[in-house]
Parts: sequence; C-alpha cells; structure tokens
Amino acid sequence: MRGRVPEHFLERGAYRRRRIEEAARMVPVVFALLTLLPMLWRPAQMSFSFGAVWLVSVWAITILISAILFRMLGRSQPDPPSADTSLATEPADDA
Amino acid sequence: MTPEILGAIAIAYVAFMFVLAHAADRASIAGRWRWMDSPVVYTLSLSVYCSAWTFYGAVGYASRSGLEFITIYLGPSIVFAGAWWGLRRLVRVARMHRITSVADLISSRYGKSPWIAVLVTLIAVTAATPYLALQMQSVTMALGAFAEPGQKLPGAIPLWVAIGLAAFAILFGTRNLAADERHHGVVIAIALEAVVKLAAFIAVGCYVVWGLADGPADVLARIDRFSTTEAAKGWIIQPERWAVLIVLAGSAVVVLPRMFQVLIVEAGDDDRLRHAGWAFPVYLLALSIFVLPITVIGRDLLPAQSDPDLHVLNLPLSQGKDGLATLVFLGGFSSAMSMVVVSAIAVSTMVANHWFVPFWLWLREIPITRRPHDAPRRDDLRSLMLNARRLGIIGVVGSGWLYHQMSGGASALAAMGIVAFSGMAQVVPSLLAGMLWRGATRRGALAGISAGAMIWFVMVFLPSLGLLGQPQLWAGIDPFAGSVAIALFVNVSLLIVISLFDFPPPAERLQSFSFVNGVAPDAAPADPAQSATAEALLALASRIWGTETALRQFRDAAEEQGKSGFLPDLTSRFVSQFERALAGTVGAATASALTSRVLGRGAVTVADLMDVAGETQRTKETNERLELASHELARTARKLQESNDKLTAISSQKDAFLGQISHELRTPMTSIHAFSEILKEPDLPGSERERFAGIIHDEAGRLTRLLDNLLDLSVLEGGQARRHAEVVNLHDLIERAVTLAEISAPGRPAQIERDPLAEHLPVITDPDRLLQVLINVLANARKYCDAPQPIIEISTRRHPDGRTEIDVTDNGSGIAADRQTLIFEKFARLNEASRIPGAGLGLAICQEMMGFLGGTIAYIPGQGGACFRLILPHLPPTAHHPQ
Repeated sequence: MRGRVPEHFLERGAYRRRRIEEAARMVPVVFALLTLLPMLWRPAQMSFSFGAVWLVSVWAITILISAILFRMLGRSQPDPPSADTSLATEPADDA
Repeated sequence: MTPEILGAIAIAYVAFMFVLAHAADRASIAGRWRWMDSPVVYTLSLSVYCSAWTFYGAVGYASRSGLEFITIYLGPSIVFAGAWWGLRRLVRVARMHRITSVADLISSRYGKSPWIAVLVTLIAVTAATPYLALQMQSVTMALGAFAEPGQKLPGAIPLWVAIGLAAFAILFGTRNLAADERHHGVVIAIALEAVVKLAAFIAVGCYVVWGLADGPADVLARIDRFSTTEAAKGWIIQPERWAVLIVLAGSAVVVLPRMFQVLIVEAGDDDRLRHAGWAFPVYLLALSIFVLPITVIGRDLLPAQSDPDLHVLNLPLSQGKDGLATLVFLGGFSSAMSMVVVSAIAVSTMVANHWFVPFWLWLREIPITRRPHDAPRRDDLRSLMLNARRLGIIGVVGSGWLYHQMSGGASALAAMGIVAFSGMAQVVPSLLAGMLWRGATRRGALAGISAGAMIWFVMVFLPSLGLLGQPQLWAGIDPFAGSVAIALFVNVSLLIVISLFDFPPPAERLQSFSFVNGVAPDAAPADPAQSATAEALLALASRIWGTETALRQFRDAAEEQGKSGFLPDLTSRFVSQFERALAGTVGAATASALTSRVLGRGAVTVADLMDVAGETQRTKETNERLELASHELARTARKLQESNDKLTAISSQKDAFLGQISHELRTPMTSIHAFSEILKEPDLPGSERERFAGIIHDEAGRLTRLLDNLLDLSVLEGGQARRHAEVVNLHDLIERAVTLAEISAPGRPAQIERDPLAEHLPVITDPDRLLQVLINVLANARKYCDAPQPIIEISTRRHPDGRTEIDVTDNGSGIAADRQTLIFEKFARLNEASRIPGAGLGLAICQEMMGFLGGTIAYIPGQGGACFRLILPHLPPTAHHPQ
C-alpha cells in the first residue's frame, strides 16, 4: 500500500509534458511500421526509385519530428528527478 | 597516385591520430575535458557503427540486392528515434551499475553470474574475429585499387595494419584502470574519423550526382531504366529478409561490443541521448543517401567486371580525380581504423574481465585480505588487469589477422557483417527481458542464449565460412532470414518458459528489481562496522586502482558519512557503492566475488531481501526534505559521537600522561636529589665523586630534554615561533635525518629503502623544523616497527601544483584502526605497557611543526605497515607578525 494518495490530475505544464512523452514513445513505432508495411505488402513496387524516395522522405520527417520532440522534452525539464516519475509510479510487481 | 604514397599518407594520418588522442588524454587529466564531452562528440563517436564494411560494402551490397542495404541504417534509426525512453533507461541503469561491457550487463542483471559473462564473451569473440579480418581486407583492397594493373602489393600490409591498430588500442585503451571505463583520447580520435568518412562519402556522392550525372532527377530516371532490365530481379525486396535485417541492425547498434562501448560505457550521462537521438539518424541518412546513386552510375560507367565493393573508389579514379580518391581512401581507412580500435578495446575488456582475471584469481587464490609483506608492488592486481587487457587486444586483433591470412579471399568475408550482427543479436532477448521483466531468470537467459547461439553457429556462422552448406528450409524462404528467425524464436521461447518455472536466488532478485525499476538498492546488510575490514577493503582497492585513487575514494566516502580520515563505516550503502565502483573496473561478477571474500560475507538471504525491498519502497515514499534533514542529523550525530569518543580517550590518556610525566620528571629528580646528598659526604673518593656528578649531569640533561619538548609544543601552539625559510635539497635533509634517527634510536638495526634520484628536490621551508619532524617519524618507525627485520621505505614525490610529499612506510603491523585518530594527540602512547621510553609527545610535535610549515602529516592506512605522509606546500605561509 502506498502511503500517499496518487495524483490523478496534473497542472497544465506537467500535463503537456506527459503528452509530449507519449508522442516521443510513438515515433519509433510509427517509423517502424512505415518502413516495414509497404515493403511487406508491395515489395515489387517498393524496390526501386519510388521505394527509395519513400524511405528517405519518411526517414527525414521522422528525424525532424523527433528532433522537435526531444527539444521540447529538454526544455520543459527544469529538474532532473522529475524525469523519474514515469519509472517511480510504475507499480511494483512481485517483491 | 601510387600505393606507396597512399601508404605514407595513411601512416601520417595514423600518426596524427596518435598525437590527437594523446593531447585529448592529457587535456582530460588536466580537467580540460568538458568542451570535448559534448553531445556532438558523443554522436560522432557513435559512427563507429559504420565500419569499412558499410563504407565500401554498402555500394557493393546495393549493387547485388538493391534497396536492401538501407536496412542496416534503418534499424539503428528506429532504435534511436526511441532514444528518449528506451536507450536512456539502458544508459542510466548501466551507469548506475558501472557496467563495462554487454557481457557484464547481462551477467550483472542475472545475479552477477560469471558463466553468462563467459558465454556472451565467447559469442562476441566468435562474431568479431571475421569482422576484424574484413577491416584489414578492406585496406588491402583499397590500396590495390590504386595499383597499376599487374603490380603486386606487398603481402604484409594486413600485418602492419594489425600491428599499428593494436598499438593504438593498447596505448590509449589500457593506459589506466579507472572506476569507469572511459577513454577520452580514443573517443576524440574516432569522432574526428567520423567527420573524415562522412566528408569523403558526401564529397564522392556530390561528385557522382552532380558531376557525372545530371542531378537527382537523372539518377532516379536511371534507376527506373535499370528496373526494366533482367539484372533488376536481384533488387526485388524479399519481405522476410527485410524484416529480419531491420531487427538485426536495430539490435546490433546496441549490443555489438564496439557500439555498447561508445553508446553506453563512454556516455558521461544520459541526457546526451536527447541530442544523439536525432543527430545520429541524420549522420546515417547522410551516409546512405548517396549509396544508390553511386551504385547505378558505377554500373553505367564502369566496366562490368569491376568490383562493385570498390565503386566508391573506382568512380573518381576512372575520371582521373586522384585527390578525391585519396580522400575516399582516408575515409575508408578511418572506418576500418575506428572499428578495429574500439572493437579491440571492447572485446579485450570482456576477455580480460570475464575470462583471464577470474581464471587467474581462481588459479592463484591470491591472498586478498592482506598484502603479503614480500609483495613486490602495491598495485599488483592493477598491473595484472592491464596486462590481461593488453594480451586481450593482441589476441583479438591477432586472431582477426590470422583469420584473414587463412581465409585469404574477399568472397567469404563479404557477408561477415550481417553474420556478426545475427550472432550478437542472440543476447538481445535476455537484455530486453532483463530490463523489462522482473521474472526473467539466470537459468532462462543461460538456456536461451546458449541454444540461440548454437543454432546461429551451425546454421549461419559455419555456412558463411563455407564449412557447411546453407541449410535448406521451406521453399521460397530465404535461408539466412529463416535461420535467424529460428534461432531467435528458440532463444525467446526457452528464456520465457524456463524463467516461468524457475525460482531465482535472492541475490538475483535484488539485481532484477534494480534493473527493472531503475533504482539502486543497497547490497546485503553488512556486518556491524569493523574498521579493520574497512582497511582490508582499502588495501584491495589500492591493489586495483593504485594507492592515490583508492585513498581519494575512501576519504570521500568517509567524508560523506561525516567521518574524518580514510576509513568509512561499513554501512550497507558504502559496501554496495564500493562494489559497484569495483565492478566498473573488473566487472560485476569478479567485483562481487572479491568483496565477499574480503568481508567474509555470506550469500544474501530472503529475509535480507525483504528488508532491502521494503526499505527502498519506503525511501521512495519519504518526503525528500525529511530524508535530507535526517541525513544531516545522522551526520552530525556521528561527528559528535566521534569527537566524544576522542575526548573521552584523550581525557583518560591525559590522566595517564600526568602520572607518566610526574613519573618521568620524578625519576631524574630523585636520583639528582639522592646523588647530590651523597656528594655532600666529605670523604668520598675522587673517582666516585666523578661518577656521581656524571649521573647528575645526565639526569639533568634528560630533564632538560623533556622540558624542551614541552616548551617546543607550547611555543608552536601559541604561534610565537619564527620561521627561517630557505631553499634546501630534500635529499640532504633526509640523509641527515636518517643518520640522526639512527643515533636517537640505536639498538634496532633497520634497513632503509630510498630512491635517491627522486629525492633531489629543492624545497623552500624551515630546514631545522622539517629535520626535526623527519627524525621523529624515522625514530618512531625504528622504535615501533614490530617486524623481525624492519624495513623502512622513504619515498618522495612532487605534485604538479608544487606540493611535495614524503612517505615513510615500515613493514610492521601498522596502527590499529581505532587508535589512528588519536596518535597525533599530545600524551598519546599507543601501548601503555611498552618497554620503549618516551612521553608520547613526538607525533604531536610533528603535527604542530608541519602545521607551522604550512603542511600536514597524516597516517595513511592500508599500506601493509605504518605509513606517515608529510605534505609540504610549495611555499611556507608568510610569517605573521608577532606584536
């Protein structure tokens, strides 16, 4: 049992930060799907110039988005310990 | 441009790297490392991922299989897009546990098991050997491209490449043994090489796209034209290969020994991943964007029999662009060099920490707890470790070279990059499960990794060498992708199933808790504090890190506990911190074994575990301020306790001293009194009269000396003494002190060991006072050293900041830890019942005098015997003016 009541609602800054964290977690998943699915689905069409342009564009956009997200995460992180909250609030399983 | 000139350029390039790495190492020692410790340098150093195999081979790969080459860059980019929550967590946990290699990480997570480390090291060595051979091959091939047709290159090129790179790795990778395995010189060198290879590849890419072709649109048109030809069949993507290769490349960027080294071990903190998370994919994109253009233009312009692996080099050469070709050669050479150097350091650390050193310790049963008096050197374990690593580097690079000589051809080597990736990927399931699932156990990991590695060895590794045929799986499925999928599937299944049925021992559960939750629990509660054992730990640390580093670490720890001196209490927090620091040097398994051996600590019990887990949970929930306050309180309490103990001891010693001093004063007074009484007798023979007068004279002398000492002390303490500073040669001073100490404490012959050369140091000080201190310390050593054959060692040293240190060490049993804080107090005599006369003022006077000279005198524990260290400042303090 926890001694303190967990916080259910956050103020604006922390709320925004949570959403940015979630977006940062989604980026690699979406990137992986965009590089895998078209290749598995239509290998013949994706093997030449169209595939190359597709991959390079997806790749460049991903880099841009992750650079922006990482920058925002860094800026809204005044004190290092707050980065730990996601780990610390995970319930412990078997002990 | 001939191969000879190129060889000379390459040698000059390597020489420049030596200078650069040396300068960076020196800068980091001098504390000017900060600007180099930036996210930019970190990101560039990650480019060690791109070896010569990707620099030259990517175009060859693309020429054979089309877009498939890009999976090698896409996998890492996907992993790095998740750097903020995936890699950062890994770096944080690895730094918390001072992980030295991927084998160490797995071993540490699974209960510090030495056997898993041995197994992972075996896989790493197996996978790395052909991969290293490939790098040497690339240098020879590139040089060959510059040769005239028919010209034979000397056969010894790979040998010289191997020797040069091994020398680089040994010089900059095994220079010192720190508590973290970071090599600043090497990192700076590979960061610069990263710039060179990127610049070279982009230069040739731009030249091809805008110089030979008419821009990007023309390149795309050429690709479309090519896609209608018969040869384009090989370019069609095979979905199962595509997926497997992306997974493999994504794993490789973390678990390849060289990547683990630069990504995790050399990382100063985890925040830099925020930058590397997007900057490293930019690097990879820049390096891969020109591969396809070079491939199609090379196919169009170069003769059909020319080797596509060398298109990067042959395209500028065929157009007479020698300068560009030279830059490309340097780029390829940089790739090979950084890969070999970092791989050699990473793999040799594993080989040394997980193979050589445990085996050696097991073989020799080196007495850990106390340094034998006849030990030749104080840091014997440290040199053992360093030599093991040097041997490891020579072994690893040497076997790469041997492999190159034996295989002899390029064809068998070409696929080695992918083969190495798939071998190391067998570690990934245990790594991921270890970070995410507390239920993953040692037995599960061991079974999974060994089964996966075995399947990989038979179905991927041996066929790639041509020793076995490619396994025929289902029709239409690529044999390589199929084999890797089978190996990983068996690996994961065994890991999960065995873990589900297993019940891990407490020590392992402690580690799994720490890795999954990202907290550092204290190790098993230690025995009640015994400073005697703290001293043994210090002796062990000195043997591994060298005396200075060990003393610094212990002093800091003691300070944190609010204690003075070098011996902290053996709290569980200190013990676990110490063990982790040790793990940063020798690996978790060996560190744990060594520490338990010194402390005589048993295994962790389930009850301890519940304690620790409960404690950690509570600590997390405690208000931070309250915790800080209680910490401060505990520190103050300990300080108070310490001074209280000291006061009590001093008070009782003072009583003893008063008795002693009265006795010391009374004895000569009594005899003076008695003999002067006798002298009054009128009819005393002349000879008798002479004798009694002599006795009175001697006794009066004794009284004077005693009173002189007391006076000295009060003058120094009152701050009324005057300093006569002049420049003296330390050697002369020590020489005189040795002679005089012999006179003042005769009867016990002692062997004096000195280093006359190091002693010739000019010091500015008051020579009379310093001489007195030296005589006192030396005489003490002669009197109290209880070894059958006393040996006194005097060593001197000048620090860069101008301080001068003089160590006087004997080979006796030293001073018990509980007395060490008292010896500099007035009236302190260590053994009351000692037969040795003296009032116990010697060291108190020494301390006052050293303070007067602006220096210090300290007792250094853990040196085998009693060791006193005198530190003199560069200049004595300016004389204060007495009123």
